[in-house]
This record gives sequence, structure tokens and C-alpha cells, in this order.
Amino acid sequence: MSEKKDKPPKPNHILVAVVTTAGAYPNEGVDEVPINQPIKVQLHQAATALGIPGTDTWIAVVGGRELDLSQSYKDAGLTGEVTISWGPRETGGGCEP
Amino acid sequence: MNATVAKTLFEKGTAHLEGRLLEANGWTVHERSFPVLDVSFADAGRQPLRVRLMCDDWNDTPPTVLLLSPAGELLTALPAQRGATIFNGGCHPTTGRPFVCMAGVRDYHTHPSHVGELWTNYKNEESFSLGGLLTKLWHGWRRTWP
Repeated sequence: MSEKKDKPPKPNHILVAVVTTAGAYPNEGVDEVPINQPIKVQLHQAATALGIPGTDTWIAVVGGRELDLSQSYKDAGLTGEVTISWGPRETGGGCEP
Repeated sequence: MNATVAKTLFEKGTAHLEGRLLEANGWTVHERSFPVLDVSFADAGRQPLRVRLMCDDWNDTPPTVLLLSPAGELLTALPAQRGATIFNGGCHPTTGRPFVCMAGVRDYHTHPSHVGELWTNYKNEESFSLGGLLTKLWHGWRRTWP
């Protein structure tokens, strides 16, 4: 359930917002999800809700740190409330000067 | 591209550049008015970078990306990058300035090394939307800018 939170999450849970340039998920506030849930689950839900195709190679960053999406929030060392920035990785280089 | 359609696509593609996204990424939007999208990237311990995407003829043509100082002056040289990077400090044969060497950027598709890579092969992918391109520029800056 999405809601604005002004208090810590319940035990073994984390408050999560996903932000992209196509919108945020949830649209307002945060979701409270189990801390043992893989990060990719919430991202998949965000892609579905926001109607974003082709996200298989996207990367997620929290506080400048790139996340392993197969990990749980707990294994990634995330607690409390986090905002995940999610989007495509840069590719390129190779132009001769 | 019809200018009215281009403007509509621009406004739709930049509508979500606000609030939590800007805060989480350390982005500052200086201008978001067709055809200009002007954004700074900032983070503790890293030199800031300002990019100005010139989106005339969007999305029949990819944006030109101008690399700017925080004050908005064109960069004539780039700092040494950390590893492989999309930021090319050499002079682009057309503009004579440092440029972004990344698919989805006009200077890439007009560069002799990549002139055969057509924008039409990318333009309908979400990763090559205006927001997607801005995110890629940010990740490139985040990973290799000193």
C-alpha cells in the first residue's frame, strides 16, 4: 500500500520510493515492503505501473551507490527509508578525436 | 518534425523532471523550455557538470548536448576522466568542441566514426527518451567525471 510516512517502518520492513524520468512509484509517498524482498520486485512493479518497457539493463542507485538488483534490501545494507533512482546506464565511447 | 509536435513531445518527455527525482540525483533544472533542457549534476566530492540539450526537431533528430561549466559557459576542454567514458575531450569535427560520444546524441550520429549508426534505430526506445538520455549523461558523469 502506498502512503505518506512520517514514522519509521514496522519491524523487518523498509520504506521505498522509486524515481525515474518517466515518473515516480508510488506516485506520492513510499511503499512499505519486507526488508528481505529482492530489490528487483519493486522495480518490476514500478515499470508496470509507469508503463516503462525495456528496463532489463537499467541500473538502480541509492546515495551514489549502484545496487545489485537481485539482492534484498537487507543484503544491500538498506534500512529505514530509501529513494531508488532507476534508469538506463550510459553506453558509448569510441569516437576518434 | 513539425515544430508543434516536437514541442509537445519535448514537454511530455520532460514533465517528470521535478521533486524527488531531482533531489535524489542531485540535479538542478536551469531551463526546461522547448527546445532547451538545461540541467546541472552535482554531488559531494565531484566536479559539477552542466549539460544543455538542444532539442529542436525532437524526436526526428537527437539532441545536441552542450557541455557547460556550472556558470553556463561552454567547456573548451574536459578534466581527465576516470576510465572509459562517453565524454570525449577531443574536438568534434563539426563543432570543434569536446562532445558526448554516445548514441542518442547528435554529435555522435554526425561523427565520422558513427555516421552509419542511424538515430532511427534508437529513437523509440525508452532508454533514448529525453529523460533516458539525461539519465545516461548523469551516470556517465557519475562514473568517470573527477
